[in-house]
Amino acid sequence: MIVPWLLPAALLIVWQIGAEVGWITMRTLPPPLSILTAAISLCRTGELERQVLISCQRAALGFLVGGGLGFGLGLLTGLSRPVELVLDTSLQMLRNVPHLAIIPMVILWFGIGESAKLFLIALGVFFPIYLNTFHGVRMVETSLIEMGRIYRLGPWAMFRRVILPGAMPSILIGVRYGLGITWLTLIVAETISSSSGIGYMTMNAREFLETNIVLLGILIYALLGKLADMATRWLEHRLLAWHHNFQTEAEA
Amino acid sequence: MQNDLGLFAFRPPEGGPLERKSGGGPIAPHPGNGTHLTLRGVSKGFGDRIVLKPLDLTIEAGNFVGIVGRSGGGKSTMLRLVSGLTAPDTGTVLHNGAKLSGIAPRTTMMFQDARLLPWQRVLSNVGITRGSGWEEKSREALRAVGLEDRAKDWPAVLSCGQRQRVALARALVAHPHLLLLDEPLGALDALTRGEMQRLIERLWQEGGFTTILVTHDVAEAVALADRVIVLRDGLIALDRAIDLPRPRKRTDPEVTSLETEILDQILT
Ligand SMILES: Nc1ncnc2c1ncn2[C@@H]1O[C@H](COP(=O)(O)OP(=O)(O)OP(=O)(O)O)[C@@H](O)[C@H]1O
Ligand SMILES: [Mg+2]
Repeated sequence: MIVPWLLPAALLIVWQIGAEVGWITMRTLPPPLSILTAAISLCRTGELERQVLISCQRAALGFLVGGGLGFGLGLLTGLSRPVELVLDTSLQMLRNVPHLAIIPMVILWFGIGESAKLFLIALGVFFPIYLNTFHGVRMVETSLIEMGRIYRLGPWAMFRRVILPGAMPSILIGVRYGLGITWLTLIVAETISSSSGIGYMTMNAREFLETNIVLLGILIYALLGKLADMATRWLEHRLLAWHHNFQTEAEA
Repeated sequence: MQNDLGLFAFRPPEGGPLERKSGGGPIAPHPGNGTHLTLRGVSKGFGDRIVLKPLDLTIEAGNFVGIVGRSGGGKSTMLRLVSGLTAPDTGTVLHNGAKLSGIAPRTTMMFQDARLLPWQRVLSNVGITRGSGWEEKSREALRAVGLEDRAKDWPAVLSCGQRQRVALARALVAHPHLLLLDEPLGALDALTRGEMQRLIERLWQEGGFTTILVTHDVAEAVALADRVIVLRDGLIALDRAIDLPRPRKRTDPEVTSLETEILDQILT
């Protein structure tokens, strides 16, 4: 379908012409073509690739650490009442603190280096994944667990075949939220202080009034966010094939 | 939110759930593949409500026992006690003379809902316990219930009656010695019900396992069971042997007079 793309394309053309005629100054909004040339020249030097890779690594590491901890603890509290009693209330209390609000403390603890960014991302990702894993495990139907007991499934088979798949829809919702938070936190953290990464590239360009590079950075953030979202959709499609099938069959 | 999964409390399947009764008396002979079941002074209550008063019951190996009674009369509770899903407040349940603790050995159960795992295909649901050669065995069990061609489907696309047949295949694939049926046909239409009844009867005759069928439908109990037990106010109100030839006809006067007798017992 071409129709939905007509308006954005027209806007781009108007924007480009507007910039060339002088309605829009380079300083407020650089023309699309200049963004493209900036992208090409930064690609040539390898600069763009390097910065994007650094940002992606940061995001991935923070997500894995925070998400892994959230998943693990969510399973533990979900599966065991004693662990829930010990941990859940404290975690629920911490959850109410917006993770970006503690940036001043994080800077005091970690300085402004790499670990501060990783900590912030991991902290932000932890809660949605923890909560959704916990709820997912608790929402698994008792009747299915009872069935598993009748068939004498061992702890691992019960977990692998009954509990984990039952909790999976909820866990994946957590992953989706977690990815959104990862990008948001990454942007904030890199913008506040950085000596590398996309955020560093844009802040650096701002000082030299290279607005086209600033805009390029924003576009890349958007693109990466979109890619991450597509990855989760793919994951959902794979892991929840039964769910999917059920829905399409029901609609048909 | 309410279910306590208690995952860490699960017994490993190998761990012997049976304790031989020390100095136990003679164990009744049990031909072939059926569990000989004994309940001794078994009672159960929830909070202040007494659901089952201490009751004694012996079921011979290979028997088909029907349990009927009013809703809330404790029929499901009794099956759960026999299966080991619930522990009795007093008394003991014995499988082949051995005291039960934990989930009963060689026992499978069917419920009113099929309880298939929605995320596993039909074949994997039947072979839920896996084990060696499970695929071939599961296929065979599916063939026995006439659903061999649905092995690759998701449970969600099956009809209610087909799902129950898959659940039946799953219950039989491991060659149980005791089959517990908790109103498995309650949600089916009359026609499918009749077919399932004949199927269960045939598979029971071939398998030789002990069967306990809980049902609301007195006619169903009379059609299938060697023995019908009426549970009323937590006690056995009637325990009636039925030795009519099979297959039984609904219109047979002996069958209808038995139905009336049992219904009277339920309703008094
Ligand atoms: N886990 C439980 N906690 C509290 N009360 C329970 C529990 N299980 C059963 N009961 C109560 O025990 C009584 C008997 O229940 P049960 O399910 O055994 O009846 P039933 O004969 O199977 O009834 P139905 O024919 O409607 O299935 C009911 O009053 C029920 O509320
Ligand atoms: Mg019941």
